[in-house]
Amino acid sequence: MSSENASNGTVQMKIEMILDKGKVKIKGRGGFSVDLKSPVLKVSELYNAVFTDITQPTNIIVTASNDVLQSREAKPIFENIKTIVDNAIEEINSGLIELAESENNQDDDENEEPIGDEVNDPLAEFRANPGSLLSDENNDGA
Amino acid sequence: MIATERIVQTPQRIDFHIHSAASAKTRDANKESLSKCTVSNIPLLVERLTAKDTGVTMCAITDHDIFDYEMYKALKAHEGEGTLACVLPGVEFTVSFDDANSSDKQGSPTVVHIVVIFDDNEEKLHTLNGHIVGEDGKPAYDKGDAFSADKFTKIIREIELDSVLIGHEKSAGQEGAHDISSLGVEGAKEAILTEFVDAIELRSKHKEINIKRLIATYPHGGVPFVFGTDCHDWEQYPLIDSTFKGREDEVAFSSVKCLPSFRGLVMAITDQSRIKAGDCSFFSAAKSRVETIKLHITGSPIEIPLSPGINAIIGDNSIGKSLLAHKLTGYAWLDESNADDLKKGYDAYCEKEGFAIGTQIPDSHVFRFDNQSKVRKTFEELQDGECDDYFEEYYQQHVDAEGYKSKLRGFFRSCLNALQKKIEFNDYIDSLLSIEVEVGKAPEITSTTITSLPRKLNVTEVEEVVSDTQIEIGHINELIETHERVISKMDPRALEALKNASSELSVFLGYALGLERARRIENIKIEAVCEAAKDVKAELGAKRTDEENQQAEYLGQITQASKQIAKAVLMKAAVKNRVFDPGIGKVKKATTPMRGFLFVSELSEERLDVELCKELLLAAFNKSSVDRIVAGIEGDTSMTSKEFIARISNANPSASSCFGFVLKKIDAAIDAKLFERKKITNDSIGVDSSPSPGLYSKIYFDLIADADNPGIYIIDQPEDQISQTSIKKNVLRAFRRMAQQRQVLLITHNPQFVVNLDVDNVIAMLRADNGHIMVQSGALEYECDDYNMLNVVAETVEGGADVVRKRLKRYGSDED
Repeated sequence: MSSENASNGTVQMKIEMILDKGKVKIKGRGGFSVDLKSPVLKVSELYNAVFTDITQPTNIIVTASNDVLQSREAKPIFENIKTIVDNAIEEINSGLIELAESENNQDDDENEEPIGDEVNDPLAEFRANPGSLLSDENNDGA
Repeated sequence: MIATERIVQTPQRIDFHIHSAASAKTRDANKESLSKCTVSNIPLLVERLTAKDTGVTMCAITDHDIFDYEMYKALKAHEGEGTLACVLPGVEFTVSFDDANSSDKQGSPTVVHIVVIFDDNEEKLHTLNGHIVGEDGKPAYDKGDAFSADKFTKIIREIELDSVLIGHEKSAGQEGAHDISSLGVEGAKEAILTEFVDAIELRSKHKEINIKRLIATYPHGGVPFVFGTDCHDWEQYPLIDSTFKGREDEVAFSSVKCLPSFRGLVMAITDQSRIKAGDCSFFSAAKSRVETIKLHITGSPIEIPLSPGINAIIGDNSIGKSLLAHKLTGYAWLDESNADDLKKGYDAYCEKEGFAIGTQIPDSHVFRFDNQSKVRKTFEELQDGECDDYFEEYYQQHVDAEGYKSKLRGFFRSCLNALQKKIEFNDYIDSLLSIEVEVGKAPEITSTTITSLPRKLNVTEVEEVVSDTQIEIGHINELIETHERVISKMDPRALEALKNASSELSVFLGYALGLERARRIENIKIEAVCEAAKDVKAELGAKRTDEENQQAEYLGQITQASKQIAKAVLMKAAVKNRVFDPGIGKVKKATTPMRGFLFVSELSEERLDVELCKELLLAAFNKSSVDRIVAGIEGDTSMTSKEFIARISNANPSASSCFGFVLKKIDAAIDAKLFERKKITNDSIGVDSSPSPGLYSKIYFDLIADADNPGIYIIDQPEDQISQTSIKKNVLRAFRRMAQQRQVLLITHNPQFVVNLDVDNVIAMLRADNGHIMVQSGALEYECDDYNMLNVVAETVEGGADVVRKRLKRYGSDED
């Protein structure tokens, strides 16, 4: 498996399916295998092997070694995994774009008015005492 | 003399410095004018004293070092004539002080004049002169032409009459001969501070600037100043004598708020607020006041005069003081919470005691009624940062409590949203662990299916060709007919060409019609096939095979796996860390400066910071969980919803509702913890500190005192919640100011609020020997045959005797 950044910002990733001891595996990545005799794929294994680090739009090219392509049992496994990966990445890419857009909008929304300024009641002073501002300090008058 | 009026309605105009012919026998032998100031001329003096522009109400003939009893009695006989209400006995003593500190006297004796006014106790007056003069009828001086200070003190003591000592200051601070100020600044201060003199007398005519300079010489608040004419020629009264230079109308008198009696004078001398220069009013002319309270006690009518100033209602507990105030106001100011019970109780008590109140104060005449519980509640509220309605209007600016709360709510939503996304992601990844997908060869389908059906042929396009062709043939035929004459002139091959064209198009039309027909037949066949296939397809669909189901399921799980992976990636991408700090810090206070105070509206919490937010988390989480929750908000976390729920205290909400539950708890905690708190402070206390309870009472009563709203102020036991020190230091001044603006009805058990406040009228509700309620009232100095008010206060108010004694000191020492 390898990945690189394309000039348009899309990450390029290549994975190669290989046949190893009766199991289809992804070259260079452990933790994922499909037994030819019992061709069952664990979704979490595929996620961990291929998708766990994807955070931005990615183009994944799925290939297979000759022995996979020439094996009657391995070839459909490869084709199905390729279908899963292709469909997943298509959905992921459109989802990531939507997410980025919604985050931008959210950032705009978070530019709130600062709080903490007093709430002024412009008429309060007048209501409190119309003549208060003009009155002098009272003295004791003694 | 006993005053007939119970309360002061108008101030007294005093002159305690008038000489008579007796002064010529001692010191003023050379003043011829005195020779006419004799007993026989007393009517002249009375005429001058009571003249329209003079209007003296209290006076004394104070001759030099001699008391002419006959002269005194002659003048006393005119009491009640015109304005003259009270004549008191007096003497102007010549006293020599040793070792005065005056620098220019070099320790030589200083002689000053001290006017002494005596209690008009008839029994001792006829022997008074005997204490002053020797057997030869001359003053018994022991120091040259004067009495020594010791001799003077001894004479005063031996006379055994209460007295008021007034130091003479005819030169108004310029250290003239025989003035108190001639003792030197320190000596004069000492004379006052040791209470050797009770007042300083200024001659009636002085330049104002000199008077101000003189007053500045003496200790602030240490001594009252009074005017005296020092008249030596009754014909010239109120001038000193015929040598007077200046305008007669410039002669000033003092206005004194007291009953016209010696006791009234004593009360005035002991409270400087009772003495003013010139014609002065001591009360507001407010219309919202009550003149009298009319009562019936066991059928007997009683009328209690009320002062326009402060009226103190005193009496035993449960005698009916509060009842009286509430009855007067028609129960309009009772606490709503227990108004009905109180009304019933009061009415029953009135019935039982035969007590009826005939006076009703209109609600519009009442500025404010602070009942007993309201005063307590108001101070408690002020301490707690709450605010009585009365003060609300002073707070023109308010802290933005809702803004701060909203910001905090937003902060917690943002924090919990960050944590929620992490927890949901963790939950989702956990759920993926158990999901397996068949990825082998897809199941094959072997059964027959109808995958496609023939489509009908387009007849319309052929019909259009047929139609267009027929039109063209018609056009050619029309051309031949219409232009036959012209065409006949042409070469015969022209007509032939047209006919050939029409014929060729007719051939073409035959082919087109053939195609149209063929398509129509084909479409009839296709329609028949489709109709037949539809039935077959429906039949086949109804019989969907297991193989097809297996294949659909197989393809579905592949699609689902893609979606699950995509969802996990997108959930992770949406996860964000949030710094657990609301970014607010210190809360801004809103301050309104008014009337010398700062009305501060502040939030109940000074800082909205991390610590406070952690405290707010405790509303929902166990104490031990707060740090783990905060860590989960701020960084990576393995927390699942199961763990999150376990950390919620005293509740076990579902996974779907747990975040809503927590937010609700925190919102409630924010509401409980953050609220607007109000306090009143001033520049010296600062906006960040809170006033002491004592100062709050000062602030409260200062504001009440300065209020402009008209009406009577009624207060039931202002002493509640206030220390004695604070009453003395802070509150009494406010009540004095209040009394200048409005009538006050004050119910109290505290002697300071009666004696030291120097109330204008005391209404004592007492239990008579026969068990009935009785009311005794009057100014503090009032005395009649049945009672004297100071004694009533001393006996009725707890601690009253002490306070009366402290105020009167030497004057009341012989009172019982």
